[in-house]
Formats: sequence, structure tokens, C-alpha cells
Amino acid sequence: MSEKTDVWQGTLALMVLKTLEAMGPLHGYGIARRIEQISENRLSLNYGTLYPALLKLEQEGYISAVWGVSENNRKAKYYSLTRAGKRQLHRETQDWDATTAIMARFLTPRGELR
Amino acid sequence: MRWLRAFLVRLAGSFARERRECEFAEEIEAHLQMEIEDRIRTGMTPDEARRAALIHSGGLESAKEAWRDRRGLLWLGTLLQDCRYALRLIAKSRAYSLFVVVALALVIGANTAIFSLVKGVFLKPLPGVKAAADITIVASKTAGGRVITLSHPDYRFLRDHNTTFAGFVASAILPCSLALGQKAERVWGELVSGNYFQTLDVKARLGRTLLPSDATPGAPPVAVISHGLWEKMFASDPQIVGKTIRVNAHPVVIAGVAELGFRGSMAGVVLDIYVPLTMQPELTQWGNVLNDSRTQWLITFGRRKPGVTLSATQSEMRVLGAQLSKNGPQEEIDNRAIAIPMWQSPFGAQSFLLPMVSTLEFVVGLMLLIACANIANLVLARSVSRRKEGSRFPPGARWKPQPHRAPLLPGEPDPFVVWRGNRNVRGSVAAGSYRFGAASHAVPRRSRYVG
Repeated sequence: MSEKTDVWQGTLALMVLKTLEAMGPLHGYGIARRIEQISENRLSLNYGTLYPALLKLEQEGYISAVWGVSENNRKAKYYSLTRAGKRQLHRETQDWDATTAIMARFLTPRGELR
Repeated sequence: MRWLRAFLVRLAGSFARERRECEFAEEIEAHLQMEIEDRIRTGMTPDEARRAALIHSGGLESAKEAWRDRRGLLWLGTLLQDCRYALRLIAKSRAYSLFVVVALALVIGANTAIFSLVKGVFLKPLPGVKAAADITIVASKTAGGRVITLSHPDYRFLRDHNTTFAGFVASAILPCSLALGQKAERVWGELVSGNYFQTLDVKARLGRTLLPSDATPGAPPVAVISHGLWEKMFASDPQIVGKTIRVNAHPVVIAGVAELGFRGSMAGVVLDIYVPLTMQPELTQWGNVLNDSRTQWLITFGRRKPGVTLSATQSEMRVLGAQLSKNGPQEEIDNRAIAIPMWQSPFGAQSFLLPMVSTLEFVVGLMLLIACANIANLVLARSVSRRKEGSRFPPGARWKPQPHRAPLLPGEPDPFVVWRGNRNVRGSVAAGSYRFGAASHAVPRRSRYVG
């Protein structure tokens, strides 16, 4: 388990929003599975990380939750992206791209940085 | 605005805990079951699948704890718990609580009483007068430092030459014998200039107030009576306006009744009848002093114009006072006009209450301090005598659960329940019971389940 990376709260919110955009309404387990799969199991989401993040997004109005029935007939809470959530996803994606671009420039050795 | 929305949602989340907790427990239970089913599908035995899923979850109880922290406002929850705890302790030791309450109530009562006095005399010195803080007394000062009243010519000069007052009034206290038919009454009244009611901004309850024209030579004798006198002496007679009463044996027509609450222009004294000061020769025994600049009998005060400070008035009065001294006859007067705020008036109750009330206020403040010190001592004494009870807490019980707690297996006793069950032992001290997250060694077996 030690090789698994911890998830930062900020990036987790972005991952959740992106997952919901890609997959549509999804329950907590689905979101966790999807994020773990996309990361090729390099990320491990325990409940204590995932659910507070979901709750925060819900409180901020980026996602909404309704009770529904899962594929194997189990009562589960389904989260879906709200309009504000879509806007936020767009904004955060841009921010993230900008940040990673800057970091990449710092970390790749290039002539002009020396 | 997102944070505001989140804050409000969290505020709401601090209530209806049980329902939300149940819902969340249901949600993560569903999560767990789905994961177990998935793992069984990949070929694990049900037991292995459950175990792996639980380990993967990172602990249901700690998840609940993390979720709880985010759901409501933690401090609000803690605050409510503290309040409940406090109430429970109060209910538990009634005699002690009663003593503390009575001790505090007594001194707070004393403080309130003295403060009412302060308010009555200094903060609202003239009941029934709006914005009494703008009223400034003008007096003269003798060479010996004594503050004395002004003469009528001095008043007229200041009234006609000042620029800082919106209205400048003179009044003199007048003992009155009132008579109407067989009824007679001794009251305190006031001889006032014609602009008295306009300047104080006091309206009439019945009829009219006095007008500047009433205080001109040859005007018919009229008077305004206070609401209190109207009720007391005339039984709130609605026909009172226009009736003639005898004031110090002189017939005077009642022009109106002042509005409720107004009691004249001197703090601490109830003045019941207001007569134009041009009637001074008829109503007093000391002859006509209206044009005598040696008889200083008038308390004068004005309402400062909006925006005019006290110091501006004071400097203007100094200048006008110097002019008066030049023309005036009395060499023993040091300063003919000084301005004094109403609450420091040398003529009303303020003059003798100011030193007394400041002392009283200091004393009751001290009493409050002493009571607080006593109660603090009492609390300290009690906590010393209850020191042993501290050892009733399990060593390691803390206000926050430990971060890596082993997952709780279904069927295993929930530490939450265990602690609640122990409530009798711990008494009401652990009122915030479920906040005592069970430390790992409280149920030592569980450490075995950690992978």
C-alpha cells in the first residue's frame, strides 16, 4: 500500500467533478472506483477522504445528491454535477493546466532556465 | 459567495444530526456492500472480501468523524454540547448554582439601580426633551469661582447676540399657590421666556404651548400646565384650556397642557406650571426685576445649532461675556457668561448628585468585582474537592478520536455505544460523551484487525 499516493483535497475535488462530467450521476463507490481505475490503482480513496470532499462540493453547490437505486438493486446516494459545478470544473481545469504548465517548465531542464 | 453558501449549509447541518448521521451511515454501508460484492465477483471468499473492503475503506468510524467535521460547524456543535454540559451541571448541584445566581443577581441589581440613576440624571437629564445633549447651560461665574445665574438684561443681550444657539431660553423656579374654585395646590412652577417650548421641542397635549408673543409686555396672562398636574389637580379635564386659575393670587388663563413626560427644565425637580417671565412682577414678592441688571435670577440655556460643538459655544460665550463685563456694573463677577453642558448643570439635581453618583457607581462596580472573585474562589474550591473524579476518565480518552483507528467490524461493540453505556459510572461529568472518541486501548482487541 505504501506505493499508493495520497490525494490532495484540491485535486480530489477536480477529479470528482471531472468524473461526474464524464460518467453522469454516480454514487460514492462508483466515483471512488472510477478515480482509482483512471489512476491505474495508484490512488486509493478511503471513505474519510472521499465523503468529506463530496460533502464540501455539495455544500458549495457544485454537485447535488439524490437517493436512487444502484445497478444491483441497492439504495445509494447519486451525485450529479450542477450548472455551477460545470463552470467550476471549467475554471479549475484551466487553473490546473496553467499550474502544471508552469511547473513543467521549471522541472524540465532547459537552456533558458539555467 | 460560495463560502457563504457553504457556511449557511453547514450552519443548517449543525442541526438534525441524528437523521443526517443515519443517512450517512446508510450511504457508506451501501458503498461497503457494493465493494464486497465486487470483490466476491473477482473470486474472494465473502470473509476475505469483507476484510479487504474494510481495510480499503480506511475505517468507517474515522470516515464518519471526518464527515461530521465537514458537515456542521464543529465549534457550534461543541458550543451546544458545552451548553448542555453546563446546564446539566447546574441542575446537578442546585444549592451551589442558586448561591452563584443569587450572588450575581444582587450585585447586578445594585449596578442596574445605580446606572438608572446615572441615566436619569446625566444621560437623559430632561425627560420629555428630545436631544437634551444639545442643551447647554449658560451661567456667570463670580471671582470666587461660584457659578451663579444671570440677570434679565444679560439674558436679552446673549439671546440677541449669540450665533451658536438655535434658541436661547431663560427660566426661573417659582413656588406657586394654585387655586381653582375650592381646590388649592402648592407646586413648583417656572417663569420662562416665550421661546421655551419651541427651543426644548416640547409639544402641547391639549391647547397650545407658550409663544414668544405671550412674553411681551401687556400680553394677557396665560400659563401652560404639565401633564402630571392636569391629571392630578384637574382630573384630566378635557375642557381645561381657557379656564382661569389663580397663581399666587393672580388670575391666569390656562393656554394648554404640555405633552406627557415633560417635567420642566431642571433635572430632579418636577415643575408643574410654566408662566411667561414677563409676569414676574405680579407673581413674585421681590418687585420688578425685569430690567435690573443687578438681580441675577435667571437660569439660561440654549439648544446648540446642529453641528455646533460645545467648545465653539464656550468660546463665543467667553467673548460675549467679556462685552457684558465691559458694560455691566458688577465688578465681583469674573466671567459673565460661561457655557456648561446640561449634565453638569450647577442648578439641577446634577450639582449635588454628581459626586455622590460617581462614588456609588465606583462602589457597585467594586461589589461586582468582589462577587466575581468570590464565585471564582468557589469554583476553584469545588474543582479541588473534585480532583479525584479526573481519574474516572479512561487514560487516553480524548476529545478527538485518534486518526488511525482500526475499522469497526460489524458485530463488534461500537465504542460509542460502550461509552454511553458507562454513563452512570462517569456521572454527568462526561456529558459530551460521544465526543470522547474511544482510544484504541479502550477496546484493545481491535488492534489485531489492523493489517
